[in-house]
Amino acid sequence: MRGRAMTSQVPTATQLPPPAGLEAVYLANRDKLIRFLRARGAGGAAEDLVQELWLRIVSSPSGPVVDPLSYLYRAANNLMLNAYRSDSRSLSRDEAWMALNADTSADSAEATIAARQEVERARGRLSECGARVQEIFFLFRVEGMNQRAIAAQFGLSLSTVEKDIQRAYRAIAALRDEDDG
Amino acid sequence: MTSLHDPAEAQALDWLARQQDPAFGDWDDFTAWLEADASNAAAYQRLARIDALVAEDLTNHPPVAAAPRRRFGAAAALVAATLMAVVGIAGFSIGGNEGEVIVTAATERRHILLGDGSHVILNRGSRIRIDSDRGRAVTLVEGEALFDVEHDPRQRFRVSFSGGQVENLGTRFTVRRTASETDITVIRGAVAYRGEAGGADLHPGERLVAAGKVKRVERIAPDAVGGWASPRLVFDDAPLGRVAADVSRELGTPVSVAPEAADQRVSASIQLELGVEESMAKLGALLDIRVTREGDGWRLSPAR
Repeated sequence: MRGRAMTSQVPTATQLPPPAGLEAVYLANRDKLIRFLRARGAGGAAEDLVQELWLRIVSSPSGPVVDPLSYLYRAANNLMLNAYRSDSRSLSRDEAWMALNADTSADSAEATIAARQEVERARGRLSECGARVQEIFFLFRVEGMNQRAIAAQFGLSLSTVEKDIQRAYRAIAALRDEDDG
Repeated sequence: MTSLHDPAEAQALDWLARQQDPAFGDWDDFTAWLEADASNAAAYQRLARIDALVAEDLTNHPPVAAAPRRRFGAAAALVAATLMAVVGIAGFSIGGNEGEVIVTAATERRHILLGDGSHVILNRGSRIRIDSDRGRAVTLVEGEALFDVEHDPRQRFRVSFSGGQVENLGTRFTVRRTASETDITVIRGAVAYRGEAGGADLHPGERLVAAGKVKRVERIAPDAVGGWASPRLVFDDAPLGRVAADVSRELGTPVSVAPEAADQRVSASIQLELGVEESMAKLGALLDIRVTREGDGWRLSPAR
């Protein structure tokens, strides 16, 4: 599976160039991005990862980017996140490749089942917070509504919405303590 | 629940919540925080991972709300029911019935109120099919429409078009379909695009243009989106008959003038609302005239 993933990332001539200016920002901030990837846990793979991140951006056409540096950081953050999605062990270079090629990679059956169970327990804890907290968290996290808009829709104060969202996050986060205990 | 007392976990949650904002740009401070303590990066990674897994699960299996919420409350639901009754009797297309195809000419727009309370505003020269009025599904055959969708966590609202579809749970967005391209812009909330050009989640201020198998996402000022759906009408010493004609054309609903008001002239600048009722109520208040329902449409008469 990993071998297959390795061959699919060569940019082809038909692909569009990245948005103008993005490359200059990338080159000017390459060291900062490497430092960020290292701080995020990439370790010695950070330099290779930043290069692969750039190839990934080059090979997927997108429109103009409002804040190129923030865009690059977010892409780097997502890269590190996706590497752990199905496997919480420390990140190796291969796993980073897998993350970069998430579309073509397949998770192992055990990892999928473990993640599935983890999500089910997290959803269980979330549902214990009640319907309102769940719905508010859904609007915030999935629908992308901001807290002010949610407060207006529910007729709640902004601080109540903030507390509900924190409560939802804590419910999800508490899962690991259960496992450790 | 020891994590509540762990500063690394609490701070990690705070970063995660802040990074939900598309405009988040505090990456230097975030890097510094990660570097400050090895447990910070570990806490963030652990929480970000479960957050992403749960978010994916929530997308596929939204929570079931205790009761569906309506922005306009019970009164609006009654208005909707009344309108639906009018549709049933007169076949008037301000409400969309399942299976109905609604077409606008090059000079008119049409406001469509679906059974779930969602609004569809059909721009000029467009054609839409109501696949299911309560089932929250329509097909944009050609032209452009703005969708103001009632939030319902139990059921997504789906707009199909040649080459793909978008889905969401409650939001405001436009879809424009030309011979070669589909153009989707989000004003509020978020929509998920799926089609020949792959998939993409769109947020306010983003426009997706899909042509065949190629797509691109552009930034656009949310305020600039869908302005055609709630235009500003300016009248300078205009006869009420012209006001009626202009409003009728913009809202796609008949508006008549009572004979005793025919000579009245008005000067006003009126920003129309997305909803027909809201627009007509505003018109009455701004022009100080009486606005009443008349059959399928509305009647303007002198204030009492």
